[in-house]
Amino acid sequence: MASNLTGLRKSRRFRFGSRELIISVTVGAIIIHYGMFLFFPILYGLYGSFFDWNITTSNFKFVGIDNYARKLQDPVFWKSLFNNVYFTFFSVLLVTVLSLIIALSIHSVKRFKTFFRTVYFMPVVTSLVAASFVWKWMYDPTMGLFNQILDMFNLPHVEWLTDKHTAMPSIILMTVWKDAGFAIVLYMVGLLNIPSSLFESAKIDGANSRAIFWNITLPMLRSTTFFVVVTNIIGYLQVFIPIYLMTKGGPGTSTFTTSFMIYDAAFDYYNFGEASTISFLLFFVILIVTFAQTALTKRRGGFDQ
Amino acid sequence: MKREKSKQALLYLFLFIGVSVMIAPFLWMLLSSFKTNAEIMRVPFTIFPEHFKFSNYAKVWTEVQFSVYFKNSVLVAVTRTALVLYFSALAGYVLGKLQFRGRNVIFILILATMMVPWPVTIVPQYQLMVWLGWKGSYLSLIVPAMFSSFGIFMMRQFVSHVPTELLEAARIDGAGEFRIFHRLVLPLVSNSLSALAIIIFLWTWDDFLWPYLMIDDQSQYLLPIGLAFFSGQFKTSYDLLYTGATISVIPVLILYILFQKRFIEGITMSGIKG
Repeated sequence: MASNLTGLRKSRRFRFGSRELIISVTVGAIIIHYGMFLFFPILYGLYGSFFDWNITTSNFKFVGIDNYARKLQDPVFWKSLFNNVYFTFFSVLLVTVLSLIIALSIHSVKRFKTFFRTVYFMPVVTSLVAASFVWKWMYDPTMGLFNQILDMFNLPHVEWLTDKHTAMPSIILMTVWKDAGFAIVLYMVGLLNIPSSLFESAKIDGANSRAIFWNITLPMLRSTTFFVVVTNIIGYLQVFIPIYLMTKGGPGTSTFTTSFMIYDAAFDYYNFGEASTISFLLFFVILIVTFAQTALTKRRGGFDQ
Repeated sequence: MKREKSKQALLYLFLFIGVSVMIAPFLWMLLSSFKTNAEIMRVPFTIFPEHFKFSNYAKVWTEVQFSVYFKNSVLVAVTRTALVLYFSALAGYVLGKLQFRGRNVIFILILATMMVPWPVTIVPQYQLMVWLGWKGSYLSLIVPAMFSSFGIFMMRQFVSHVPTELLEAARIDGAGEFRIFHRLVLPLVSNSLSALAIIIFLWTWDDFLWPYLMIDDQSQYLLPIGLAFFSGQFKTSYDLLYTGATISVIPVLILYILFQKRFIEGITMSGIKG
């Protein structure tokens, strides 16, 4: 009898000891948390995109694919996607190329390496909200720093954020300033990881520095470049804060991006159904980009660190 | 050799031009915060303020309530960072070191959530907060952020470096899993936790849209919302605006310069290990 009892106790402890407790508490919390704050909202948003859904009037009426049909025919939606691509393409290109050049330069100089790294990384730790404001004031047509500098050289003023041709480039310029440091540091780490024997043997073979760059440095940095490009594309397709704080999508629709359009529909017009529709269209675009990149890397065997 | 020297000189020239471009906005902001509004508006501009006007700071700090926003931001950022660190480490330990059915499915699902763009969730989450009655409360900023997929992912990587023999030894000594986690695992990953803390703190400190949508009461504003609200109110008081921006940037920047190695390692570890 007694031995039976200890056996029972033992097996119970085996079934539910501290190991089982920590697993069930943690997994339970994860399931509840993600279920409630992520999976439910995503599904509810998808569901709501088929409804005329307004949070202020508590309207929730099924409209089928009307929202999708209307948005796909809306030239402003396509303009916003175009603006996304415009912003993303040039920001990614400039951030990647400039940070590679700067990282190579820092790598090549003999002194002040830490100083350069510290300074170039400063904007990365700076609040994007504050940076957007400061740049907006620097772009001010009369008292902003930029036009005052143009004045010094007797050059004509630029309207920066208030001209539909320069508004987007101005935001891209700010973004490059803000984000380059992150990629610079990644490239510096990548450069340190290239075995120096590769460079030495190339030099012995008589390769010039241009050949070394194209045949050794750049290929060896491929996974860094891939990471920088992929994460930035996905992030920049969702750009919002600088747009909202600097131009509110204007002038006209020249900086009207898709996430700004979602914000505008949801929180200026409280049209939650339409906002959800646009957000799923954007999600779809981002998924396609992600899959294209995965397919591309699989084929070229990249991302191999 | 001469060629090498001139090449070095060119590189330094290039890098120092870059340095001045990088720090110009910071200097412009800082110097403007000590000017009078009239001096900021003046054409042609001055670089250094004619007189350093420190009263801008007193005004922004008390009258415009930046002291309140600052305290609120610290409170929310510290609470959220502490919770995210604890739950990331816990989930990292359970998903990384303990074997059970469904473990990989859960981990893959958590990873997949990192791909969901924020515009997809923000609208229904807003509705959810209205239903829960959390809109207008810090609960809406803290509870939905308790688990961070990124944090779990990072901590699982770091916990996996803890030697399994060490955990086994503690188990043989009769330590329970909670004790092992708190007394053994947490101290061992404290370095990685401090790196994660920097990232999460910066993200929370800079978080704009969600608190902007959730918090209505001005006495509960966080710094970024305070700054945005204030820039709408005092459209032409650039002296105060620059001061407000400086107050929200400089403390973090000072921390960064003091601990720059930690900051850079912490922030870029997401890129290197990813």
